[in-house]
Amino acid sequence: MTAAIKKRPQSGAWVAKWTVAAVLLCVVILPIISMLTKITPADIADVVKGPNFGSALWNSLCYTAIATLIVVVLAYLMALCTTRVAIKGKKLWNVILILPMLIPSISHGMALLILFGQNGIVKNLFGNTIPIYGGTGIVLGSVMYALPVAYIMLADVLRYEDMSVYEAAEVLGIGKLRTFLKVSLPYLRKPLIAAAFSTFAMVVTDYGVPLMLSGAGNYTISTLMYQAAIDQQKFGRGAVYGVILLLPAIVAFLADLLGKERGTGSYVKKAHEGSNKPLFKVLAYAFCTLMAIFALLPIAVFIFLAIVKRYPIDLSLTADHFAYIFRGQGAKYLTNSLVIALVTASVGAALGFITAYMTARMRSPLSRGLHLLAITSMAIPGMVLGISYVMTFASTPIFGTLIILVMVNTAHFISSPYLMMYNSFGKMNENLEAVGQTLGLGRVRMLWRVFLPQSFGTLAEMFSYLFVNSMMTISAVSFLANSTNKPISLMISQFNEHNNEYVAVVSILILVVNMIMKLAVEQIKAISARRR
Amino acid sequence: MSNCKLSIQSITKQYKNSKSVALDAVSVDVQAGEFLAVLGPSGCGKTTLLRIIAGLLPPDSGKLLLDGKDITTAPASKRSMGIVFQNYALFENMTVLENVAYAAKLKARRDKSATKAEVEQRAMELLADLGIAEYAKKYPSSLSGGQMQRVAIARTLILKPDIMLFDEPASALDVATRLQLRTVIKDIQEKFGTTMIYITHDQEEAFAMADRIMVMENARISQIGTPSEIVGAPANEYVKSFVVDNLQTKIASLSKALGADT
Ligand SMILES: Nc1ncnc2c1ncn2[C@@H]1O[C@H](COP(=O)(O)OP(=O)(O)OP(=O)(O)O)[C@@H](O)[C@H]1O
Ligand SMILES: [Mg+2]
Repeated sequence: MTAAIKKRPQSGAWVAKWTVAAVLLCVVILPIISMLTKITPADIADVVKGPNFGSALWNSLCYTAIATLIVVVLAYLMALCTTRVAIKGKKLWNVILILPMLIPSISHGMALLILFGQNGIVKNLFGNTIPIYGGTGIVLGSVMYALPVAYIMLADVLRYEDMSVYEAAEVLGIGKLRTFLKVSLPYLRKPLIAAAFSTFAMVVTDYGVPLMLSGAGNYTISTLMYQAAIDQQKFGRGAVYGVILLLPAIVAFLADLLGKERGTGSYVKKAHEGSNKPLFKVLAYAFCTLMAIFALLPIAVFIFLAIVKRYPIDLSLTADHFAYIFRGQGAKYLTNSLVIALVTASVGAALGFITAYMTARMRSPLSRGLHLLAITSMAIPGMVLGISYVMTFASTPIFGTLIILVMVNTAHFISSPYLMMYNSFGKMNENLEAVGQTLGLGRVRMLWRVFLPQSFGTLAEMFSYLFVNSMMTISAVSFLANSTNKPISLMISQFNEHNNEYVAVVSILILVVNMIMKLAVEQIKAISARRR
Repeated sequence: MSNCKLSIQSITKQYKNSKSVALDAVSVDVQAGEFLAVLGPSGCGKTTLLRIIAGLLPPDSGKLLLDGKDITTAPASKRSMGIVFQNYALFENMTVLENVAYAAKLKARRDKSATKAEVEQRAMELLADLGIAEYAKKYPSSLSGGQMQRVAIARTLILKPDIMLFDEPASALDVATRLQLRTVIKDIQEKFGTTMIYITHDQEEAFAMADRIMVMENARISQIGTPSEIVGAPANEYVKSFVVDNLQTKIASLSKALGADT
């Protein structure tokens, strides 16, 4: 009588999951494997015995370590100011402090040149300047574009720290220093480590800033890789550099994974109200102002250069530089960028949504694998992904088209939006599927009529993340673009110090497009939040 | 039995990643129109049993008969059962009225049994029955816990289920709301004659509401009986201490408090 019950077949779900897994495998994992198999011992020897290899390795490590230290300290202080002190206009501060995230790293490098270079603004005004080529400039430029990312990470963590622990400590008569050492630091240890690792990975794999500022002989691994793969078209050698850059990224990835293990699941019982002590407020305003200037400086410089005729000779206002860019290839490349960014954002948001639904709401051993697969791309630097795409897809018809740029961007940026959706699904009521089943509402209908409408805010955020990053990325796409499918961000490296105006114009265009996207998304989020 | 609605026969379940069984050959016959409370401590298998009855989880072995028909492998949507959870599980993107009417509208469209307006009419009547008609156009996030639970109940009621399953529906509510909800559920049972299986770990709730109580411990049934049978003759030491003594303590402290007052 107690015959075993046969399970109802779940083949639909199984096929769907494998399809998504196959897509992710094809765009993320396979290219990397194919790249690794194409590296020859000769490539490795060439790289390791190269005349600049040792110094580049050393430079990369030093510059990145120093930049990371500065970034984490500044980001932590900034986050303290905006989450722990009752300063006014927090929204505005937040917007200003993250603005540098909306332009390419290479723009920051260029801005430093324009400001502090031999023909720069500072030299012009004061007759002297700081030595911006080499370490100083590379570190400074890296700090500029990496700071907002670390700031967002830490501010998020601080905002969600439960303050009732501190009240308990106070009631128990535990001293401030002790509380800091025993409560704040342990709570912050993992986020700080995660922020440090991801900053390190981001800076060490960036070529935009060092390309502008390395001057004579200050090579880094990323600029050597750029030279080998783009200037000399030696992809095997480029791949060897890529493997070197992959290592810190993988370490950062693992650190982040471990950092997320704990800490989640706790919710805020009591949020921080912000200290009202006058001293703290003055310090916070002063520090935020300083950081805001730091953040706005490159943008101000670009706006200035873009609208005056010829600095420093003729300061009359003009729209000529914009006209020049649009007369040339600018319009076409801007269109390319918009198409790439819009399609990447749509495809990536859809893929992220479906994958997250499968891993968060259709749990099975296969889901766990799919989850790992979806977050793996976080560990792969854009340059490495780009070179792996060249080595894998060079002879396919999609090569040299916009399609491959959409593909590489989707693969490059999918992890973060995926995780946004995954977390959002995790927070939705766990019994919704059960209710749907008893009410006769199938999975697809529930997905379409219940889960999707509840995800509009998150989807908008995912869309904006993918769009903004696609607009400003210069890493993976630099290996895959030619004169027909080039995105506008890559125009920057084709100008030099003598036509700064055009760099300024391009940077401003990217910034404006990204700001419009950000504003639109804020608007959509506000509307979808108001509806409930 | 003559009037058996649901026959649960020797249901056994062990979760794949678990060493012990969650249900060990559980058998019980639920009568038509009966209110059966399932009472037991945390982890004894109550929710597992409910999910198996609803068709959300397949049992390892055993049988389920609904009106004599084998439904052991029938999909949840074909069982004519509604389920109400502790945490409401409402559709937050829909208004109260849409929450209640949505599934019924689809069903009506499928078998052309009613128009959209008729379904909405019926949904409004149910909301009125449950005392929440004024919130029909509101979104769930603006309701209190007790109101949300009424929406969840209306949402299952509209499909006219043979059996309603409750998984600790009142556990997240404050005492006053909990007492109100009891009345609401008992009224529904009376009005619609729906068979109800009601999970709780609150002895008093079980005794106040149930026709029969099924006491569980550790994946098994310890005793099934009417409240007076269980108080009069607890089947074993466990039932005596978990149910009877517990209630007696409550009564003692209550009468002490009341005695002091008057
Ligand atoms: N998905 C699952 N996987 C593995 N074990 C599970 C799962 N769900 C429940 N269990 C285990 O099965 C046993 C019975 O769980 P069940 O949820 O049915 O208990 P319960 O009586 O409803 O408890 P509570 O009063 O806490 O809700 C418990 O030991 C539980 O840990
Ligand atoms: Mg339970």
